[in-house]
Amino acid sequence: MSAWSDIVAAGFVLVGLFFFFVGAIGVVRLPDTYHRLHAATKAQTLGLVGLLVGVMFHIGTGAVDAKVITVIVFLFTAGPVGSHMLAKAALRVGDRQWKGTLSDEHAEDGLS
Amino acid sequence: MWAELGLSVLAAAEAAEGSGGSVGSGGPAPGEMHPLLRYVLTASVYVLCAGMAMCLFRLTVGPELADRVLAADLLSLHVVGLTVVLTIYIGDLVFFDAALVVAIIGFVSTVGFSQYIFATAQRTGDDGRSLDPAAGPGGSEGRIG
Repeated sequence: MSAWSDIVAAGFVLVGLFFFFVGAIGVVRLPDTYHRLHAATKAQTLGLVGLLVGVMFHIGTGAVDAKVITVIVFLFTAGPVGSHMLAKAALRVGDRQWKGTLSDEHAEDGLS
Repeated sequence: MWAELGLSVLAAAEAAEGSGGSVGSGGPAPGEMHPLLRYVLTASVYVLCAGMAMCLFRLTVGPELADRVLAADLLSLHVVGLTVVLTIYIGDLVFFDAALVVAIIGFVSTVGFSQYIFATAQRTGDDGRSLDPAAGPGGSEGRIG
């Protein structure tokens, strides 16, 4: 592969690493379970997509592109579904919320 | 010193993969890449390992069970990220299927633990009152300071 595709791949890998690191910091630093879910899910999906697009630019054969697109579609499906189920379960068992939470429509409707 | 250590880890993985050559045609030779990409991959090993340490911290101290499940999910995605970095480094697809398998296992374990947390919750009816006779009414707990 040419040098330019490697440089573009390095850029995408750097973007993915940024999202991975921000997500990990958010999992450690944010105050309650729902905030941590918010940080982890979005950051991990975007970070992994960055790394996978880096693979596409570095190797660049048809088999790689097919597998990378398969994994990206799977991640964009599985990430929101899994985190939604986890948030619903956390609400159901009554995980405590941060005191600065502005609105809890789930509790106002008498659910949870 | 630390950069040499990271490169040696990647080089050991490349040596373990063997010199069988690329399976797919048209890809780059193993280890052949722009020096900038090599530096970025070396840094990515440290960034991903630091993220895994943060996930292990949350897995250990997480006050709720959902925090631990979330940390385990993010840990499995860091493993997927390391596998993808290894795929870029050796320029071959032999480890890429492992990334897909780890991603699927992480998703399935998250769904399974979510169902477990949901099933252990106190059962409440549509009006919010508990269906268990011995327990009080369900509902959200107090807010933490």
